[in-house]
Amino acid sequence: MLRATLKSLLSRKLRLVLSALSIVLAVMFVAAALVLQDTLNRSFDAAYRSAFDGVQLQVIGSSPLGGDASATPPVPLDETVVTAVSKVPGVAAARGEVRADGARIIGRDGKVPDADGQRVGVSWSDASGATLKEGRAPAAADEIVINAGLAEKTGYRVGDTAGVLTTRPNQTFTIVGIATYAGRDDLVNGEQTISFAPRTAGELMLGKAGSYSSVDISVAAGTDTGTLKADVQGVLGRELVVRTGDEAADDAAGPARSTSSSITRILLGFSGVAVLVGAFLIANAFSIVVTQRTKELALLRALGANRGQVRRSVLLEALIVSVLSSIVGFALGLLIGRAAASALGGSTGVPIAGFRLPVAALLVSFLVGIGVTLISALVPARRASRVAPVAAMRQALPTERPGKVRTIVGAVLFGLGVAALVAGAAGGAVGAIGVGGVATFVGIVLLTPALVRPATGLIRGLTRSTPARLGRLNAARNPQRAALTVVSLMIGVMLVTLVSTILTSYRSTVTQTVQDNLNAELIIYSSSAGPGTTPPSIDPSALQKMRQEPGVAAAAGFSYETARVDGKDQLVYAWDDVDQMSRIASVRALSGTIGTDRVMVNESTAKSMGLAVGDRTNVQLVRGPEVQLEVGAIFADTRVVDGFVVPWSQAGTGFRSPQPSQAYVQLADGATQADVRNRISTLLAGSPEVDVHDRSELIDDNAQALNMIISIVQVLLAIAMIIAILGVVNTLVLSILERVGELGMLRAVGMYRREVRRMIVTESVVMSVLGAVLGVVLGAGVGLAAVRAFNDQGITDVAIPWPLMLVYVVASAIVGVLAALAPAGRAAKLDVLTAVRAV
Amino acid sequence: MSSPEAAARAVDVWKVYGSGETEVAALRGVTLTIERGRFTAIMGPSGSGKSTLMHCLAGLDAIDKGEVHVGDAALAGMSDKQLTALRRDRVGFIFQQFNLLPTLTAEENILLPLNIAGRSPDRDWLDRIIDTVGLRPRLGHRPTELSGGQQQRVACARALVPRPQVIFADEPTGNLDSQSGAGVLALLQQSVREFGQTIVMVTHDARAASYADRVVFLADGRIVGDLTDPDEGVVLDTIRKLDADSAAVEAA
Repeated sequence: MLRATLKSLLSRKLRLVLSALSIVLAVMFVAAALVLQDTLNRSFDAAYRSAFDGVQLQVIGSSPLGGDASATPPVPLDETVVTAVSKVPGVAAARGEVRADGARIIGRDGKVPDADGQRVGVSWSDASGATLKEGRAPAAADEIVINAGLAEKTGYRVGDTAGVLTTRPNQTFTIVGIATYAGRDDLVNGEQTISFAPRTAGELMLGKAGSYSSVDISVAAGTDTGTLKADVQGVLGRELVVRTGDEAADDAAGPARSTSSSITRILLGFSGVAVLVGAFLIANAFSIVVTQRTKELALLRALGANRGQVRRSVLLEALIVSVLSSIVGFALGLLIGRAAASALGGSTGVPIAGFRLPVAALLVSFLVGIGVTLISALVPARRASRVAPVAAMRQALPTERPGKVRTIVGAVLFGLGVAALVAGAAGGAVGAIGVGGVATFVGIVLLTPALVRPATGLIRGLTRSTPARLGRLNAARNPQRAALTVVSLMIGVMLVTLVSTILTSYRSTVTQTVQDNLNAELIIYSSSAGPGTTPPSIDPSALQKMRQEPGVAAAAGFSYETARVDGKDQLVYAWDDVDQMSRIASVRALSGTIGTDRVMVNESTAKSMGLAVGDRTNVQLVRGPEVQLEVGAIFADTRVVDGFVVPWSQAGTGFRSPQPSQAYVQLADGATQADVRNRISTLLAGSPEVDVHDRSELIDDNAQALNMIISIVQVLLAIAMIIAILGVVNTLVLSILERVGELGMLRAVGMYRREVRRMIVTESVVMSVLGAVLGVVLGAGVGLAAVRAFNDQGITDVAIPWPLMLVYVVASAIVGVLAALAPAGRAAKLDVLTAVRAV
Repeated sequence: MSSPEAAARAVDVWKVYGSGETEVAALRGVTLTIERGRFTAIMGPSGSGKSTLMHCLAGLDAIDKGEVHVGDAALAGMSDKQLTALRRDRVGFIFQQFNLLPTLTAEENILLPLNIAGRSPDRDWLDRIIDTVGLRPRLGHRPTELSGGQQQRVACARALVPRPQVIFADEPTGNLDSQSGAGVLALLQQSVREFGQTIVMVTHDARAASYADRVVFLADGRIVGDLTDPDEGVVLDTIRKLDADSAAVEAA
């Protein structure tokens, strides 16, 4: 059997290449994603390890919100920890150090320069590995040393003065020195490091004078680091964390690692779609194989091969194809992953780690490539084993009919899915939407074979010419095969329509809210701040001055931060001036009183959290101990400033930045917007991270962020489309091979070559457009259900992305034409005489 | 040159396959005139060149030397497009394997050549053909729902409806049992007698040939015999005689 399988494999090179390509692409994405992640992580780790070379052991406070220690601000430690640690036998020296994200220098142009890494503020210490390249160490409270990389970026020299934003608003410092780190310009590539005098660092970076973010320990000679770590931990108790330098480096590498893992996750998402589409393609390819080989298989059966042997022969073919494709896919993925790592590394300045064969990536790639192929080939293999020996003698292949059981199961699943979607939409249950979406999708996949014929019947009117009519009929000829092709096209279109529907609705909601509910003409925010970094800050004194400006009716700043409320992570808000905010957002108490000393919650949030006035909540903010706060007011939904609002005093101690990160400004009647805007901009000179925007800019900025997500998803669509094109080509080429006799007859009775081409192109376009239409309908349907379910989460407007949907359908038609080009050319060039004999 | 009596003509036609040592001449100077309104059978053993001759006459295969005319049109030097148009407008085909489209009904299959050519059918004529082939109750059926004999009658109707100058039938009974085969042959004979249709049939079956008005014998790419209005016995005698001749040639 092995020899027979191999021979049959080689004799069908085209089929081999087409089914292999989809596996190659799927494996390539998986491998590229994993190699990229592996390479970047090793590069970041190496960079941070070298930065923490000087640290042997280190004590830090445990992060109140848990999780990634580097994602939350450090817990301030005081002198008592240093004293306690010093007394532990085996500790040669213990010194308090400050190192925290959020020291932002203001450049010569009055702007905060872009950062490729963290922007840390540290306490100057000879032991930290810093070497002065020029100047001297900071001694006075208004002196700083900056790293050489930052000096080069900003053009600052020793003796210059510069503003720096810390937990305090903009203060002016004199640059007294420029530091290098073991010969490098940056401690870690891309990081901006500002060193303060030890006495002031704690106050500026941690909000508390004389506090430290860590206590670094020098281990006495002859003492084992591991033993000492346990000893120190024993003395300090569970509240504090003792870690080695390597552990500290790994923690510090956290944000960089999480960037690389979010890139990896996007790539893995792409590969997931590639794998899904590829699975349908492989199933299609192998079911065609089996149909084509029916005679050969029947002959084998007639010659005495049993069912198991026939099944194994098909699976063996799948195995061989998948192993070869996985090797090629992995090799390509390796190249792409390395190239992407170099490109990304190049942009952050981190030196890229050397080549290493990533075992995990290798295993996962082969598991995916081989596993998906074998699973997809199972059904065709089973069908192959059912070929009766007598089929060897039969003339024509029986025409395929959609299986009844399959259709019924599909219809039931589809019905249940739709029911779940409707219920989820009505009840705001996002989980039900997920389940319903998957059920609907699987239902459609099972139903498609039964849908193909009626669906092609619908476009009868569009295909009047004989070639077009024949093409339409051919598309529905093998419903199973057509369905697999249609579904592989449907997947990509469905996903992108789903995401577009949700995002378009969200965008429309934002637009509506800003236009109808936001009574502020000017909005102050930073359009460049990314997530995870220290939030931008607005100088409170500037806001204070703004309120005195003529033409300003009200101005209110606010901040938000992730916190744990009664054990659940959620966003909490704080307003710097409740009166002003209440005027701007028409905040109206339903119960309790609007005030500055207690928590305020809008009605629907209160409902979902089960809160009433007088309830006490336990709130753990990113800094400080857990506090118990009483709910003082429930206010009517504003659509603008809804949420769990803690008193401003809590933001001062518990938020990363004690200053507002955004602000709303309401103009007085008769004030000129441009005039007020200019004056406010001037007031914000000391808050260079933020700018004044009007409403339409706010809407545009929001739209831009969403458009980027849509673009990423469209790349995904493109990938899915490319793979689906392979499926269409596969189906067409093989149908043509099957119908050579027919093509010969048509040519003999007078069909021109161009008409043959038109016939094949029509068949292709019918399949692709059907796939796109199903995808658009399914995607928009699930998207709408999700939007309805998100109603409570703030997506109140429903918007269907009609233009995008139209584009996807048209794009699919073009894909259909492109996919048909080569097969149609091949069909048209068939020699009439050879073809007519090949029945 | 062109005779008003000729539906198709071959003049000194040579057809050579391969080149050099492997060169095989399938046709060696065949000259043949297919008369209008007659039923001509071309007979010969396999490899005699009978199918090649038909393909050359029908514009499906190019010749190496000589002339081929269908009606007054010379095929030499025609492009693929011109040949296609010629087949579409002047030639009909009946194949051994019927070659019907499984996606179309019997009626749609019958109308296919007219549809491809963008011509509308002459309703009376269509009805007459359908009644002649006896398929009226089966018009809405698809080929898979028809017997072999019925399928071949659909194919005959498909060839007859456009009223081509000549119909080429390639072993039309080769895939049929003798009873269905006889029905199809009678139908072809009837179309010649009643409608004046010109038909050229390639066959190796003496019984099938006996339905023809004229039988042309081919061997080794040459015409070796030509009978008019033969019965089956005469055809068989001729075959035997030709076999004996060729055996004698080989022996000599």
